[in-house]
Amino acid sequence: MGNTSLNSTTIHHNVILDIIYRMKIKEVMTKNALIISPDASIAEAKLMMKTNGVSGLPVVKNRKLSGIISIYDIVECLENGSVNDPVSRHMTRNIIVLEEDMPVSFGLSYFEKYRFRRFPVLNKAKELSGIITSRDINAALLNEINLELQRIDKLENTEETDSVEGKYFKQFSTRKYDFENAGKTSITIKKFLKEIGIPQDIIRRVSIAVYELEINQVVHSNGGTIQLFIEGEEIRIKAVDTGPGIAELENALTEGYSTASEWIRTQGFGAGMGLPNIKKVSDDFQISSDLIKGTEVIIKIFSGKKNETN
Amino acid sequence: MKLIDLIQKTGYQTVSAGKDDAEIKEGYTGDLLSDVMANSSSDSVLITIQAHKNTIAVATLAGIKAIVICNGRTVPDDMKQSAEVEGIALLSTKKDQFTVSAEIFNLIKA
Repeated sequence: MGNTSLNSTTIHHNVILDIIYRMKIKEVMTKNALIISPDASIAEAKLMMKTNGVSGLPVVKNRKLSGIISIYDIVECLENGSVNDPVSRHMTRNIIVLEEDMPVSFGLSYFEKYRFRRFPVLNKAKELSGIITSRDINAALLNEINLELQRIDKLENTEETDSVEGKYFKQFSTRKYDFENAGKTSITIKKFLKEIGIPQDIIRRVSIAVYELEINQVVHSNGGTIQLFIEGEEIRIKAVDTGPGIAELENALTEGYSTASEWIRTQGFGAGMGLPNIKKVSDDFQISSDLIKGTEVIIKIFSGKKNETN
Repeated sequence: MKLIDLIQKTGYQTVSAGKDDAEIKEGYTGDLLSDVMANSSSDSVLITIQAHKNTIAVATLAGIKAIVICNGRTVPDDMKQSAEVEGIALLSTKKDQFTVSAEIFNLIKA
C-alpha cells in the first residue's frame, strides 16, 4: 500500500478499462455518415470522397448496407480504366460490421483483429446507423479520460484477503462488460479452496456458483463485489452489485429466461441458466434485488454435506 | 483414454497441447457456457464452436481437460494463451459438432 506511484498506475489503467466497457459504439461513431448507392459510378464515388475528404464510403440501398467502397478499390478502377462501372461491381461485399449497442472495447478489438480502417455500424433493425474509425474512438476516449480523471477520488482494490485461525475472507470486484477478466474470480477462489484442502466436489459447486455470480455482474450490472467467507464447514459467498436491479425476480430464477442482448449471447452467455444453476449447487440461497440499489445474493455451501438437489 | 491417444487417433489439429497423460473419461457438447458449466463432467473433453477465452475459464472450473473447436472456427490468440497457461488441450477441426461427438464417443465409450 505504501507505493503511491504503483497505485496511481493501477487507477489509470482501471479508468480506461471502465470507459471502454461502459461507452457504447453509438456514442462514439459518426452518425449521418456519407453513403453512396450501389448504382452510382466509380467516378461519382471518387468525386464524393475527394469533396468530403474521406477514404471510404458505405454502399447503401433502401437503408440496407450492401458493401464498402474504399479509395483502394477506386485506385484499382483507375488503373483498369473501369471508372464508369457501377460501384456495386467493385465494392467489398464481405464486410465486418459493429452493432451500435456494443461497448467501445469491441470496436477496439475489431480494429486490432481485422486491420480495416473503418467499420459500418448497424442498429437493431440491421440498418446502417453510422460509421466508426479508430480516430473517432481515440477522440472520444481522450475526452472521457479527462472527465473521468477529474472525478476520481478513491482507490479500489480488486482483491483483499484476511485470515485468522480457520476463518478466511476474500473480496474481489467485477466490472461491467469486462469479459476479458470474467472467470478470474472463480478461478482464483477455486485454486485457493484447493490449497486449503476443501474436497473436490465442494470446490466444483463453489466454482459454478461464483462463476455464474461473476458473469451476472459483468453482463447485467454496473459492476460489484464478490466476497468469500469461510468459517469451519460453512463456505459463504456474498455477491453485491451496484444496480440496476432485477425487474422480474421470479423470471430470473426460471431456467431459460434471459434478458441478455444478442452480442452477449455470441460470447456464450445469456443462456438463462445463471441463477437457477447457482440455486442448484447451493445448500442455502438468498436473493434480494432493488431496481435502483442493485442485487444481493448470499449463498452457503457446507463442505461436509452432499448436495441433495443436484 | 489418455489425452495424447485421443489427439493421435482423431487427428485434430493441436493448437495447445495440454497435458499428454491427462485421462479423458467423458465428453460434453455445447456452446452455452452456463450449460457446459452445470452439466459437463470433470476429466472430460468439450466439443464446441465457442472459440473464446471464456471457454477456457469454464473448462478450468469444470475440470475439462481438452476442448475441440469445430467447424474450423478461428481460435483467437488470447484463447490459445489462456489454454497454455491453464494446461488445457485446445484442438481444432473443420468437422461439425455432431461428427466430432460421434468420433470421440466411439473412442472413449464404445
